[in-house]
Amino acid sequence: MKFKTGKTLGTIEESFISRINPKSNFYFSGKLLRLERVRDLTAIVSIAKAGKGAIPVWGGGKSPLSSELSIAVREKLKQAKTGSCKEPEMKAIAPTLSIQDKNSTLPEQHQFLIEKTVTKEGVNWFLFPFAGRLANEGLAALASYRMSKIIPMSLSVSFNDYGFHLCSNEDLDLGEKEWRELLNPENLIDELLDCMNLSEMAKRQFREVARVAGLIFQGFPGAQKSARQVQASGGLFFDVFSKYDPENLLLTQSRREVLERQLEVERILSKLQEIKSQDLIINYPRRLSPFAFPLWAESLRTQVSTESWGDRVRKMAEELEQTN
Amino acid sequence: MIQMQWQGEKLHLLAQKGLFWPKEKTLFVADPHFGKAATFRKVGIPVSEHTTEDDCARLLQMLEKTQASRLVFLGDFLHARQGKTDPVRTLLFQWREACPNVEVVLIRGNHDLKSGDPWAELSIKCHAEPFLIKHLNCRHHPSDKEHMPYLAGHIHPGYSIKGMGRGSVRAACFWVRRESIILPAFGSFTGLKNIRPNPEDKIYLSNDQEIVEVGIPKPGPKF
Repeated sequence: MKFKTGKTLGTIEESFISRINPKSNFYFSGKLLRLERVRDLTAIVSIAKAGKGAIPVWGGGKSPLSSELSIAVREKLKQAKTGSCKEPEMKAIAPTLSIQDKNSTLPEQHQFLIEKTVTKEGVNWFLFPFAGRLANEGLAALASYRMSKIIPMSLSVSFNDYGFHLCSNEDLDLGEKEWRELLNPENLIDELLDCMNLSEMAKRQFREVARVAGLIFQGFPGAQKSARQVQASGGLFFDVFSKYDPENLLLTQSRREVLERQLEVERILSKLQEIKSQDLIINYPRRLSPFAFPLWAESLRTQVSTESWGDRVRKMAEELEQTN
Repeated sequence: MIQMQWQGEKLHLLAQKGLFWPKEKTLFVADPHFGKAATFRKVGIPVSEHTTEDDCARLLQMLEKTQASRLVFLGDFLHARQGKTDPVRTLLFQWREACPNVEVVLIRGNHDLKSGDPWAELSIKCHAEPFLIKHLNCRHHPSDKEHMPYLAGHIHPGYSIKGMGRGSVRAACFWVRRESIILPAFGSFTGLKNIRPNPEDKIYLSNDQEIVEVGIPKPGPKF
């Protein structure tokens, strides 16, 4: 990010700046700035005179919860349920937790909570394994993959430290038996590999791999980037490689990195085994519960679809017709 | 394939990212960027070259299906001078040999100006934009100053549509406006730029196999 005069302000996530229209304002480094244009990977900005602006949020605050910490969190939730909130933080959150308990359930250690709420975006399932962000991502990928094999459907998935959210365009009637099946620890590794190919997990990791491999040339520090005709985004490389060169070593590398770093297979397996021994509680809150809301509001989502491209787009176009 | 009436002419939008004008037996294709993978390879970035093979096959498939007698490239035939390698040349020569009776025209785009006209053996007639066919102008760059209805490329239009379950699909599209049609980039190794259509425009998404018309949401209330 630079001023017109060439003074560098810092760096900002590409996905954020691409959502800002030129001549619109946003906050960065304590200043209200106006975006002039984005060229190559440099955003040219000027000081905005007045008005509101979008606020970027640093994604680094999402570092994952460890399993020890998640056990401690569950301990705290148990205390809240029995009404013994001593610390100021717990006192502050007690009203929210009591809403959760009233509208749904505040799950105890031997319980596994599933909530289903229908909103205008689709059918929402919220599951709360309390396994930490990384393991929840893996569990979400697995559950969405297995769910989308029941009938052709498209799901979008989000996750946080407490649970994960599957939002689908088709309604399914899932009872205890079906959920036990979806959260079965058998065939875990094979199915995780399959669903990684279907979802965009490897695509995100690929960006990093491509940069290290020199596919995405970012230019020497401070120097002007040359050779514009050899610029392509990580996403385009990923798509072209997946289609025309599926055996590409860089693709293999990004899949392996997802498996090793992100998915924490051991933790997913032990969580699934734990769930097997827990009581399933399936609630149908009319409105989003306090546990569900942050997952619903999470904008970073991945998609899983077992519908054909044409069917999916036609369905979306029809929905659009109805709202217009 | 989708048939549409535009500027008093019947036009066919093909899923393979071509536009066919039956009355003139002319097929239009924009931004193939042949040799883009080769250009990357030249500078040491290993990208599969199968994209060119696939693109040539797709062109022949469209020519076969439409029985077109003329093929017009709306610019950016070759990606860069470094991309004029032997493998690319061989593939393009093979493609041309498979359709010898088709008249091929190229409207030079910004990439063609740098990489030079294609090999003479391909017998492609090169013209600067605009190039008039009946009452339709063929361009590479879209232009606000153009007085005639025109077909153009250059921007690699892409559009994403959202649906239930908070899903979205992003794909290349035909962008049909009252005075112009912007064609999707034909090349397999090309990126997309999201467009901001007006509610009266029409958008047709394509993934090379299927083409679907999608509506444009009415601008909702601003929060």
